[in-house]
Amino acid sequence: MVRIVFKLFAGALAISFAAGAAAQSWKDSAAVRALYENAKKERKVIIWGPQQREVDWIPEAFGSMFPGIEVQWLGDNNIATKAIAEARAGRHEVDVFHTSLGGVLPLNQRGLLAVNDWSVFGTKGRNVALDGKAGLTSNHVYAVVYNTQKVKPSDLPKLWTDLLDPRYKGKMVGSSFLMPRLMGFLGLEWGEDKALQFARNLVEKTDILVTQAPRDSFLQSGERVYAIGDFDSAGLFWASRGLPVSYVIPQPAVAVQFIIAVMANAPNRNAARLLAGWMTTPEAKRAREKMRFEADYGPDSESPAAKKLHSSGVKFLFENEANMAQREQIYKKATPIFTGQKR
Amino acid sequence: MTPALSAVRRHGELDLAAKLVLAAGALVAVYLIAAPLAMLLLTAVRGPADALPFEQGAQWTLEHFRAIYSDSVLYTRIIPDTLVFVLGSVALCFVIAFTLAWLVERTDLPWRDLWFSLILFPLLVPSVVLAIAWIFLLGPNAGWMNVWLRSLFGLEGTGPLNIFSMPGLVACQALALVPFVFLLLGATLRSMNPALEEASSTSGASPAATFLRVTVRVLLPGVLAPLILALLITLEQFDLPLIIGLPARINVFSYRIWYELTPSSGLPNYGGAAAVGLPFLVVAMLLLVVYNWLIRRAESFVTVTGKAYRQTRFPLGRWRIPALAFVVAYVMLAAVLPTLVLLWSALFGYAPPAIDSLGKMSLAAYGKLAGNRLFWLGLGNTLLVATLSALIVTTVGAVLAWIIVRTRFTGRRFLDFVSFMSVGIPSVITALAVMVLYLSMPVGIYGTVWILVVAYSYRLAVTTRISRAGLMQIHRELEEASSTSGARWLSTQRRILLPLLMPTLVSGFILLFITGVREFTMGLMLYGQDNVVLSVLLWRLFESGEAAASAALATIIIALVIPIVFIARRYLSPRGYAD
Repeated sequence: MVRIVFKLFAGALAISFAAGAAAQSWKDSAAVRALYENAKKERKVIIWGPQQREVDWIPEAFGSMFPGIEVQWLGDNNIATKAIAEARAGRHEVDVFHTSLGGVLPLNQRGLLAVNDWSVFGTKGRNVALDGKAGLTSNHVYAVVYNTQKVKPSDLPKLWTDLLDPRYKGKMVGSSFLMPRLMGFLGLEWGEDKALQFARNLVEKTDILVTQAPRDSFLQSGERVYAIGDFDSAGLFWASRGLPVSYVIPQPAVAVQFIIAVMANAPNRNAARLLAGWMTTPEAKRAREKMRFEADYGPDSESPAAKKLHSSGVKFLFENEANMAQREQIYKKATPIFTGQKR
Repeated sequence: MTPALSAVRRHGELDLAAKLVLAAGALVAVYLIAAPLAMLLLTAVRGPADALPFEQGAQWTLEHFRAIYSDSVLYTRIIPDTLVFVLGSVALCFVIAFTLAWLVERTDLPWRDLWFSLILFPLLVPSVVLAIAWIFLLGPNAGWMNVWLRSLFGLEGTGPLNIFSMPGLVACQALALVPFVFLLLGATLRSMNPALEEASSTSGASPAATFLRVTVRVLLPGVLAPLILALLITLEQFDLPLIIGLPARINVFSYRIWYELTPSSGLPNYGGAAAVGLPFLVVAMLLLVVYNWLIRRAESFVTVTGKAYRQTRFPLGRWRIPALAFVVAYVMLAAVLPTLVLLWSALFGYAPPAIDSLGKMSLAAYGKLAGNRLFWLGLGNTLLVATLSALIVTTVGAVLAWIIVRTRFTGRRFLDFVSFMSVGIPSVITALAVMVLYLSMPVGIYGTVWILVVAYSYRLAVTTRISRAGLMQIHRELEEASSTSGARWLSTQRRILLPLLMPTLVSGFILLFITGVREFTMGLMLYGQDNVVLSVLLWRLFESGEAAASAALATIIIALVIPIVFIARRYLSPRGYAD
């Protein structure tokens, strides 16, 4: 028995040393050290992300590993628009762009992203996208976040289509930004017609409240008890702030792929490459999961949350380069359904 | 005509300094308003949709108009919704505001000074803050007021009140608009000669009969002008339709412009947004023409005079308690309850409002804000933008007013029109026009705090009107005396006119400063790395799930502007009553 425990301990130690060595190997490589030295001369780096929560944890985590470089951030849903508009006007402010794979597409199409050498950070293969212009960082899983004090476990949906059941009527809230995007994913699995009909049914038959305001306030007051299509990480984040919520992942499980990219006209080019590369490393992913509950759910992820989900047999539909254009077509059609507008 | 007066009136005889100052003022006014509008016009007829007007590849096109105006949703949803929203909000607002103004200005209602300040409260708070607080109060399932009403009347299910409906949106917009209309109506009521009301009362008419048959009829011309102004302001409202209207699928014009600028993917449809905005401007211009006509008519209405009279207050008698209840109800709904909701969220986070939660009180949200770089940046930016834009607009407005009132300069009517046009331009359109203008011009202020200063400075109408009224009360003889004594134009303005006009200018400055602090739409649309302002930061925090921090920030904004209420009270409140 003692021998077994000792072997297990030795094995775990060996794994952690190996992981540590791998971590050290990228940080101590000559290429990264040179990049850091050059980045320090630039003194700062500017990163834009789709929400404050996606980027405001970075200065502390990055700063602890690479002191001397100030990280400034901007969290805004319209960062792609801003970046393109500014580039057209000849103004280049942002160094690093952090958003979903689909969200970065307009920038890539306009040649605003630079190829980065991700391999010096140990990032390669499936974790690099857009011909070397993007590194994969994390995933957001679409979920149903619910108020644990007002919802019984037996009332939790197992399938997205369960939400059309009359028992959910008048109890749901959804984001006008995220709901169409969820339909885009479901359309990949179900076909466009079924997904758009599902969207219309949600709007017309369930009295779902579609809003630009954050859903936590609705869950808090009990005004609505299910937040549909919010991310798993949002549920965990709100719970960490004391809101009595948890989440379930209805089937089919769908996950947004978040990426990081360096801007072609980055004013702080070295700091940009360093920050972007670091964001794809296991250290950054761990820090992100710890501070923002956002995990990498990829098949080779070290995240305990990802391992738990994979072991439970949940099959994920990930956003990727092959499906993102089709998904965009569907969610463009779903948007007017949720906002009441038509183009 | 004295030599000095003729010198002033004949443009050619002004000294060089005068010419420079007046020309600069006129040019700045035209630049602040006409340049963005010209850019808006160009954007509407240049394509493709996501191109800037002068970008390579942009061409002349009417495609945006075709695309927007062939869309049936415009006629089936947007126009009807906008009409109901605007007319409903203004009608309800007028009932509330007129009653409040009459009670405060013309009756012996107790604690009038206190009510005056509290009624102004929503004017000082960003509408986003009010909207969020009202959702807490009036949400159909769990709104505090609904829970209370259900328990009081033994009701089941949801409601009875539903903020996420057209009536809910109309009620919220009306409440938010009340302070503005209250100020305008208060001024009219204050200057009204009470002789007719007194005659009615002494003839034995009841207070209600006196109010309906005398007060309302006498004031009608003076009430119609603020009514048009309120219509214009409501037409441009964006914040409440976004937060309260969207969940109810209410689509108004201003939201449609926003929708075109924030597509579900890809680039903004600048051309489409401009095409939506232009007819909107035409309607606003028509309303302005009506407004100008009404103003002239009101000025000629003989029962409202400037003659000296002793202002007396109407005794409320047995109506005192219901009147107080009405004022208290408004103040509770518009000021006290929203503040309590925000304070609770700031101090207790997600904890429910209950005695058990008191132990969870924490100042952590304030501490977090203090450690947030963006908070300090936003605070500095907000104060800078609100102060500078108010200063620019007050100065330019005063110069324009001087040109309009004191000279016979050929283009003065055009300047008057241009300045007054600003009141009819929704901030969402101004932001769009300014954004396109500075993306197209190589001046490098896009994304900086300076673009906000320029954008916020378009509101010339208020200060031009205020300065005009102030100037008309100062007789030209004073300037003439100074001039004939040998003083140059600039010295005369600085030593004679400016001190006399100062109270007027300060009141205009305060109104504009308050507007600048609470401005949300332009800040949001022109938001960049370095130019965040507090109202936008508040929304961003709220959007990111930082409920306590956003509530804490809202309370800080309120604390920031409360002293302004008391300063404003000094300049805007009634004086000289015989109580």
